[in-house]
Amino acid sequence: MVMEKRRNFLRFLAYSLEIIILYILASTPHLLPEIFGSKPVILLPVALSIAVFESETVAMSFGFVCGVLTDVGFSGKIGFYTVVLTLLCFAIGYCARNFFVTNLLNASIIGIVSIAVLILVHFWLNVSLADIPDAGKYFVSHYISRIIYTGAFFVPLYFLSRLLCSTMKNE
Amino acid sequence: MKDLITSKSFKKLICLVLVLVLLLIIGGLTDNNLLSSIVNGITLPMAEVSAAVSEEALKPNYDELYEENEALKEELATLRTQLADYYNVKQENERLWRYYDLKAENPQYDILPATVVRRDPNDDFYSFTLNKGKSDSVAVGDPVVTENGIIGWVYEIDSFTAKVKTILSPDAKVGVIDTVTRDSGVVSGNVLYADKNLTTMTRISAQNKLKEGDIVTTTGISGIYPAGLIVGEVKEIAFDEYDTSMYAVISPFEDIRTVIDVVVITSFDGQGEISQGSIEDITLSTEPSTTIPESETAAETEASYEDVQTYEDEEVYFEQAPAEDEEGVW
Repeated sequence: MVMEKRRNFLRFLAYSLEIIILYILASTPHLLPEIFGSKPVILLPVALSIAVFESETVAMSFGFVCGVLTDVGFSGKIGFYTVVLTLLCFAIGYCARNFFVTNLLNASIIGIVSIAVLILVHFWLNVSLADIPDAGKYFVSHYISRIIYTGAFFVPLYFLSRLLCSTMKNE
Repeated sequence: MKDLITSKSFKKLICLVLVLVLLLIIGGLTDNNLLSSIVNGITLPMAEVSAAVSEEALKPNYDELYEENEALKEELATLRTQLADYYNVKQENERLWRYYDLKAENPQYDILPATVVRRDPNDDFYSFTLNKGKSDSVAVGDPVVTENGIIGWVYEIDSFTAKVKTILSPDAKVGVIDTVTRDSGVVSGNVLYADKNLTTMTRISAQNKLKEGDIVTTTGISGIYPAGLIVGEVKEIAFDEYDTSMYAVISPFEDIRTVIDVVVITSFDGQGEISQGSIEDITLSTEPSTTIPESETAAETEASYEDVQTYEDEEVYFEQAPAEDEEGVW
């Protein structure tokens, strides 16, 4: 029991470090190159990749943390990503435990589709509803590349989370 | 599904979401997002450190700086050259615009802008050399003017330069007329006044009505200078202490001692012709202007060279050859 708690603690610590390091990397100016005027929202695949391996409570907690940091990085205020990522990670964590087998294909489909939906909803709330002129052009020039760029990070982060999970959970 | 709703984790989720929504509502109402402030406070030092590291990492190294420095030096040299060209062109443009009015008012003039390139230090009457010569169609005797009036005449030329004597020189003999009183005379330099940028109007009638402030212009009668060129204004009327004749001190509107940009009139209507007509044809103006249209001046006065002619109580003098050693030119 003590060993299990210790392993959990180490695992959560590793997830936390992963989140902090990637948050710093994502928010450091000039570090990640822009592709078609957009930068990746790295903490989305981080939260989702953790969620597919963990229970719904743990997934929800890390989803909340990643959402808070993403919101702070975006606008400086907590809002959309905090709420949505918390709910989404809970749902994915629950589904991963009960409804499907966690493998690369399933996780990638869920992760990348979730990323696309999140960014599209963000676009709808922040650009479309805000009645910003030439929203379509803005979507094509920025948001499509952002979805692809962010989605591309899911697979390596999936493997990283699987590594952390397998070494510190099943020991 | 029922298991999910009754599960502990779902209750935790609901609590968390409710707290979040509550915080968001409070933050939206008070414009003071507590959770954001806390997170920003925690993450700001990390962001500052990472930004500083990134900035340091992105600083160019010595080779890059050296290359950039060399490129900038080259660019600076090019820009300096362009700037010098720009000032030259600007100066030339300003100069040409000044003479544009002269040409517009007197389309019959062929004018040639020129620049003073040398001044004779031994000449007390401020003669100078222009950067235009025979190759530019300049000829001996061509009048030299600025937009403020007559300066002098070309007395010697070679292929690329022309020497100019000024109206401050005693060699000058310019037939002039007072635009107000119509008194005529001859403008000729005087050693007493040349240093002060003044010249004198001699051979004026004892009954003259000249007064200070009158403007005198060329008569243009003998075809040496165009008619109506401003010479200057009457500054003073005095008596010659030797022969008690009267003369007027004329102050040119241009400082002839320091003039740099001038115009050579290479051709004008009536050049070299002694005009015939009546002095009564002269229409005079009290307004200072660059020129008086030639058609309105004493272009048709019947006269003879170097003669003094009395005409209805007015003595009319005509321009004389600028220099005695240029016989045949005039």
